[in-house]
Amino acid sequence: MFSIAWWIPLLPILSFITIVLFTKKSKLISSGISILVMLTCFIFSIMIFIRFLSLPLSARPINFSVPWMIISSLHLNIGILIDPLSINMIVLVTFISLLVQIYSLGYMKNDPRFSVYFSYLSLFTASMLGLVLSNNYLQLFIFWELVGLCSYLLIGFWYFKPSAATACKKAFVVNRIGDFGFLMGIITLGLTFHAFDFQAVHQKIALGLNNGVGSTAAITLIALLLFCGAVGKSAQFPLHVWLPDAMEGPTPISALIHAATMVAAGVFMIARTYQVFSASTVAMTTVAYVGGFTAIFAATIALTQDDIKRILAYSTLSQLGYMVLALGVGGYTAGMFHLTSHAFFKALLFLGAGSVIHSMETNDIWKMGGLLKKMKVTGITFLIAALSISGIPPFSGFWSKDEIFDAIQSSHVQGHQILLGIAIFTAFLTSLYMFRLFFVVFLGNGHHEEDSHENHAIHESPWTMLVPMIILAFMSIFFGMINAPHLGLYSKFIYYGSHPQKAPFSIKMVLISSLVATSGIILASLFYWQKVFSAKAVANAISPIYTLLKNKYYIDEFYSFLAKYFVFGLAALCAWFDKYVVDGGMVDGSGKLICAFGRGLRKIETGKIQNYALVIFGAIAVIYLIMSF
Amino acid sequence: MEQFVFWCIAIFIVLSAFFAMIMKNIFHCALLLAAALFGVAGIFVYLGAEFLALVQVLIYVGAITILIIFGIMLTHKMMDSKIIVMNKQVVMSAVITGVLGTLIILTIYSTAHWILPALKNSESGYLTHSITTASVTKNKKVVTDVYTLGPALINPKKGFAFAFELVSILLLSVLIGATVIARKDQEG
Amino acid sequence: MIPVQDFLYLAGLIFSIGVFGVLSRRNAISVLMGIELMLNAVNINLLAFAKFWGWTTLNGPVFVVFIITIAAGEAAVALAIFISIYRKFKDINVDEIKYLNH
Repeated sequence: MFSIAWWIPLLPILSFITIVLFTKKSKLISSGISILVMLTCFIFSIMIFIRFLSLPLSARPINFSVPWMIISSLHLNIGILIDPLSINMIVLVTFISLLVQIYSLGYMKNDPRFSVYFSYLSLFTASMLGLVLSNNYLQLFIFWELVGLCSYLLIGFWYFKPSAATACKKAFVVNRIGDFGFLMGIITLGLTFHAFDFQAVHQKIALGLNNGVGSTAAITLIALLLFCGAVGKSAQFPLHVWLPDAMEGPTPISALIHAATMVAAGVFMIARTYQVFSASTVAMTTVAYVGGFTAIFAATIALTQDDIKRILAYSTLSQLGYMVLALGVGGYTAGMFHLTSHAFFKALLFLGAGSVIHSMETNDIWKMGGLLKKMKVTGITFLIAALSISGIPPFSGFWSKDEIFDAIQSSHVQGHQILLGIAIFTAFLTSLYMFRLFFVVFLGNGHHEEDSHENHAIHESPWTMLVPMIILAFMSIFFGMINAPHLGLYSKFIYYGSHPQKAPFSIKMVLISSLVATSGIILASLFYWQKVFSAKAVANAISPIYTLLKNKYYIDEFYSFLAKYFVFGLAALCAWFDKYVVDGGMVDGSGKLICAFGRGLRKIETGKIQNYALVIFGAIAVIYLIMSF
Repeated sequence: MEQFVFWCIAIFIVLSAFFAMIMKNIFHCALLLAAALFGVAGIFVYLGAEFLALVQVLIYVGAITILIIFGIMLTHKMMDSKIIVMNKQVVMSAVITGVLGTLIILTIYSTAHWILPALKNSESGYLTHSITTASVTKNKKVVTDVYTLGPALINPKKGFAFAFELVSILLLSVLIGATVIARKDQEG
Repeated sequence: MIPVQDFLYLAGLIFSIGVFGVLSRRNAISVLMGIELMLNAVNINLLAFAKFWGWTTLNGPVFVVFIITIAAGEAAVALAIFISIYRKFKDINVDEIKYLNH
């Protein structure tokens, strides 16, 4: 029964191949195949989930392994690992992907490369499903790279736009930096443990720790290198720069990337290799601080941006920071729970933004306003998502964020009070920027009212777009409750170690987080709805900070500077070396040497037969002379 | 007397051969070559191979020299005496040939010490005592006449029948090949 | 009785003269003549050794027959080639016919 898990990544790949090879001409068939396949995968995932619940603990996890390559003592396998973590991910990924595909029917309706778009979506989802079902590090890496490739294809889907072409290159290159670290980590791991299967490696780590054999330094190195990959994929500081630019792709793609298929991969990878991370205190602390820093760093940038999708992108960065922070402080369940609930409301936010962009044909929030009247469904679902991400009870974001706070508070990481402070302040910033966005777009009076032509264009989106949003809104409201105190279904399902462990629930924390979130909303409403205060005045008052935030801390400029003076300088040096030393000295030099020899030797190649005969007889004479003495 | 005649013939051969190789007029060269080859036929008689001497005269002197003279007449302006007959490496080749010839003669000289005792010990001056089985040795005067050479050539068991047939095929192909090569091209 | 090494001396001299002709003459026909001289020197050697071993076998004379035959064939083909070359180049000087030279 569990072997149907093989079909979960395979079917979307088959649908990709079918669409690319056969049905590219027909939009209807292509999208139909893609959506049906995704629906099948979703049903399969649910079936596996239900069946898995009934398994006794001793029978978990299920591991299918097929030998792939045997290189002397090294056995490389390909396989599928079914455990709560991967089940969580396959259900989530197939669910979000299904909704995004249905949404895309409406959103991409008039795109000439509609079929290609769906084939890419299938491949993207297939890669992510293969990634989450991997049972060894190498397979994980292969699908990891495939995910990177698909994101490249999809971010650059409108490749004729120069900004999209640049953005997809940027995403690929930045990811490559992280992936290099990841690969190094896998190689180091292979060298240390002589195995790549998760279970084998993790068993060895556990054994090594118990016997005091495993070198902590080696494990720390491996964990930090693996974390490099997660930093790249999950867009943590300092490799976060690609994610905001990835907004150049179609909006449903952003939803997919942000919710389920791409950035989640990094967090998932940390959770999957949690045994490695938790074996090293240094690595855990690094993970926690990087996550915490990214959370507050991105939230401050989000406060000042004007592009609706960029605000959402920075909010994703910030929320990913939360997840990484949670994993870093030992909140395995909290991190994964937030990943899942975040997937729902972030997908919803992006789909809502897509709906707005679809009718407004602009990304600038200041050109929108008062849309709630014209786009009721979009507005209300967007509001639900915003409340959820802000952490207002009882929406799902509240529960997952609360889990994280509890996890931080009860953790043993050095300076966890600071991290808790950062997390709570970030929660405040989150509700502030989310409601700034909401008020400006849906309640404020933008500049569009004067332009009657644009006014006319504003309409509610078609039902293909609205239905996924409504489903997601439903999930955003109710999903979090499954892990409410005294219920704790999620904690009982996904946990690290031998038994479920839930950080103690504290009323104090609930009060603090609700208070902070609400105050953020109120502050936002004072600035952007009721206009009690002027945002511009504040911006002017703290103008240096504002400029700094507006320009995203000049990270991009700093990287450009690095690239310009350091990388290009190094490249110029290498080019010079290549041109004059390698080419000029070694290649041309050896060539010239051979030429000189050739010119010398050419003189004896006279082409005259008697010359040759002379040499032959001369040689005979010489040999004769030598032999006779 | 025998010795004297032999050396006269030998000197005759060497001189004609040498001049055949250095004379300017190629026609004279050809005639000197014919003389040298004729001398070689005389040496063959000394070696007791009268039949081969006859063949030598017939083929070398009679056929090949005539062929060469034909070739000369077809390809040369005979009377042109300004032709440079030697190429640029003449000095070098003279040196090499000299060294080579000296070495050959020195080698023969230095190996004569094992030939000479054999000469003294044998009745006829050669190693006849070792010859007991071969029937051809019974009549020593006419050892290489047609009656003995013929079977030696085409005897299926001990002879060179296969090589003989190969040579006849070779001669046939030479006949055809020479005709084809020397023929004028169709277009002129 | 003439000792065998006398024949060998003679053959060596003739061979050397033939080599000299082959190496130094410009005219292709002269080169051919040199080759004939070399072959004759070999013939003398073969017969001398055959006699030296007391005609134990007839391999020597038989080889002489073959050599004479092949020399005749060789001369015929060579001269045919010379005539053909002469038609093309109006010359049969070996050092000026430069088909082999690039």
